[in-house]
Amino acid sequence: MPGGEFSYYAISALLAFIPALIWMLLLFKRTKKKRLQIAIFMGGILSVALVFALQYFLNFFPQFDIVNFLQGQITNQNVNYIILFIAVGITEELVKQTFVRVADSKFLLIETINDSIQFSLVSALGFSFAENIFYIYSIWTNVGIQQLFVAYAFRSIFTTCAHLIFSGFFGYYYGIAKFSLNIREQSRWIGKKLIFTDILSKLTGMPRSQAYKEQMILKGLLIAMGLHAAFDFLLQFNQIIVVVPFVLIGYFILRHLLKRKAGHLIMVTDVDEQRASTMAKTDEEVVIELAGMWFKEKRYVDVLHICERLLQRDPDNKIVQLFKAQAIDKMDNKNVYSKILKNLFPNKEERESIEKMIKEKTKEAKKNPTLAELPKPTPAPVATPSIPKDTSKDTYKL
Amino acid sequence: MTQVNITIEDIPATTQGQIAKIVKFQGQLDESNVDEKAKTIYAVIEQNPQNLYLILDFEELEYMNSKSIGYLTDWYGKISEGKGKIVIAKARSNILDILQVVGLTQLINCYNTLDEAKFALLRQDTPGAAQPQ
Repeated sequence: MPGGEFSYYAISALLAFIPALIWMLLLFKRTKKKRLQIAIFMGGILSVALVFALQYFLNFFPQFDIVNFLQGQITNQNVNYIILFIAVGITEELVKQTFVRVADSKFLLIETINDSIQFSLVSALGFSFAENIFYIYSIWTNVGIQQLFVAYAFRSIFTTCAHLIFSGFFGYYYGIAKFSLNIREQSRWIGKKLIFTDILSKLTGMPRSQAYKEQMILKGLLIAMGLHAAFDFLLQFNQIIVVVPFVLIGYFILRHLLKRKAGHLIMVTDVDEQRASTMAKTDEEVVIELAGMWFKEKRYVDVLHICERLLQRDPDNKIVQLFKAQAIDKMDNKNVYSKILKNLFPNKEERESIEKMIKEKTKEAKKNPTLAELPKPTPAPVATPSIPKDTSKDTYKL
Repeated sequence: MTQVNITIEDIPATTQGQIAKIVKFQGQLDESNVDEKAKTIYAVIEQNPQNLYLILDFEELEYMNSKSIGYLTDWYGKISEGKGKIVIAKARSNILDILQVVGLTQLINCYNTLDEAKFALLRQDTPGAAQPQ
């Protein structure tokens, strides 16, 4: 009955909205752009229409259904599942991001890497909300209300969280791609070799900057898609015991990424408002090169001090700001999520280096408090001791 | 390879056991020569691990790259460990600017003339001696 069907959908939408609202409150907790994010949430809901459109298209033109074609060629059921879930992963991850990317290209919404993550999360929440309506409706009408509660609880917590995590990773790499000019420049000063970027640039004929950008987007998509496919695959075989830590680890990593200082850095530059550097370009390059060298040697305290001084001379230099933010991130070992990450992915050498450096600097600062203070941008401190005119009266020898 | 010359000259010390030298740099310290030339200074430090007093005369040093600044901090560390001292004399404004931003002028004092540098370096241990600003 059409009226009854509508009621089922309305109740399903209401049920799906409750967890969506809770997630929304959690996501909006620390943000000021609430209206914008509500618009992105709505965009995420509407993006489900793209999946329907694709499905509709493939129904009419089955010759374009690559997944169906591949599954027809392979008899192994597990391989068929993998193909299906990879296809679902690619489709959903691309679709979830569509609204954010289109809106950003028109209105330049994304100013920081964290913006990119945050908007991706909100868009994914909208998508997940719409998807949950159909799942709740489907389970309710096909399996029965008795089975609905467990599925509803699981989808509301874990599946929604998983959707957010996958998109969050994609958002992170999209943010890096968007600000690739500065990030690649900084990598160059650290001396990082971008081998894959070089190969991609040579193969496609793209400029290296564009190749780096494409590489980051591809990396984000592959991670999101891979995680999504793995999640679906585990669920297919009821591996809940693996799914729960899988989602939790993803959550902690994403929380860590969102807390990084470098992620908060506003990377958009207004050329009209940019203040000119008071240091000669070649001299400034020597200092930035030194910051890169010390960053590579994990001398983060020294990098931080150099950046503080250099920013007094060139306050809008994004490369220096990035170095500073990343040096702080590296030293922030009090962060609980960093500790969890360190337990998950221990890098003993780096941890010991930071701990040793902090101890040394604290000792040094206690011994000589003036070293800990940053100098003001005054003219070069050339010392001028007073030399007595009549040196014969003095006992020193030259 | 960019041209750079380093000449080392002994100067009379004021106290017993003190070894004082002027190290004069001419040219440009860059990637092509810095590793090679740094060895000269390391050799001096190795020969005189204790009480080494060095004046780095930068009057004719036109450019120094990041690596050479890295070496400079290392020389400072090694000489300070051996209870010695290191000062810079007559550095050009561009080099002084870099050293200031890097923070090295807080560790190594810079002087306008060689006489001032000598006076400050060798007099610092004498009570009541003038301290650099």
